[in-house]
Amino acid sequence: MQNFLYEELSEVESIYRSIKTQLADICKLSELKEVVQAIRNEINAGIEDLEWIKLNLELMQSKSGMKLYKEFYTTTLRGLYTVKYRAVILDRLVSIIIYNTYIKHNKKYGEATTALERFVNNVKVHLKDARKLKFYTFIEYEYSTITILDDYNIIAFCTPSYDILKPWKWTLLLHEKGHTMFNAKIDTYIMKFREKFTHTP
Amino acid sequence: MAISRSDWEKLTELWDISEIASTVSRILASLYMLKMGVYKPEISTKLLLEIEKCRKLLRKIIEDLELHAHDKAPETILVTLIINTYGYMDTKKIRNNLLSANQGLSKLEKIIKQKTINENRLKDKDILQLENMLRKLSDALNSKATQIASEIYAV
Repeated sequence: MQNFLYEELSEVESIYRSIKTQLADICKLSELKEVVQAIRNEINAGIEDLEWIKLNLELMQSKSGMKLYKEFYTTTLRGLYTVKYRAVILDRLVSIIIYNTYIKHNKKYGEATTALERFVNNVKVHLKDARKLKFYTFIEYEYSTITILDDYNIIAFCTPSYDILKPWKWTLLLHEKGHTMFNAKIDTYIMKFREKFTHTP
Repeated sequence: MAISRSDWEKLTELWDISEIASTVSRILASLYMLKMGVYKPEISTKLLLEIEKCRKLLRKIIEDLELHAHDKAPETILVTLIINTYGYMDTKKIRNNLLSANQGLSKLEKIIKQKTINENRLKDKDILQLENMLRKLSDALNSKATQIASEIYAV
């Protein structure tokens, strides 16, 4: 019965190994230092969770005949899937970072990506609530914001590849920034505005 | 496969839900282990850390629920999940159940710290309330995570 769990465990481990290999190529780039460290911390936390699951499975080996074992098995499998989901999401993020590194060193797009970074960071100067945040700009398929590393104060803004050479379109990123700022101060904003709406005579 | 903005919104939601589900499943699995008489000192440090995380989660759920009940905040994902967990919208009743589950968490912490694990102590009504809440919450979280994952990966 436990074989399936061990197979899944090994699959998640291989995702982490793959991410680590990809990170080895970009870890020396100083501009990516913080984001690489945050990803490494998440990998370590994930590996720690996998070790915990393995230890529990070892301890429970002799109990597989008990009625409650089924509940334990289901719960453990669900726990393992949560680690797997996060590993897959991290893998996607790393792919985007690597693609961005490639674009940055491309003759045609290099200067534009540097200008894009400046644009994003210059806007930050005017946002008091964003000072402690570290902004990254990556290239994606759509305008988007990646906030999965916000516990590390890391936010990534993505611009679609077809707009890299169209700076007049970059203002669309301000919309994304609006979402970020709202989420950063969500409790204050909601309390403040909701109070006004709900107490209007 | 192209990743659109809505996909990243979903991925972020899946990321956050997975984090909560992870804590819930670890405490619940440990509780089952203790009930089956399986305990080793090497798991206690991690388990105590997880209990602390779970306590913070319960506090946040209670806080969100209170604000929502008094119309001071919208229904957050945690409020939706806890309503789905219990299957009713009586916030006062949910709050009382959560407070009892929180008590159960403190009692479980005490049992682990004192290393006096026996079946009778785990039959305490607050610990049973904790187990019941975690089991239902795990179901709600699992169903939500599976739904988001299928939306993302079915594109």
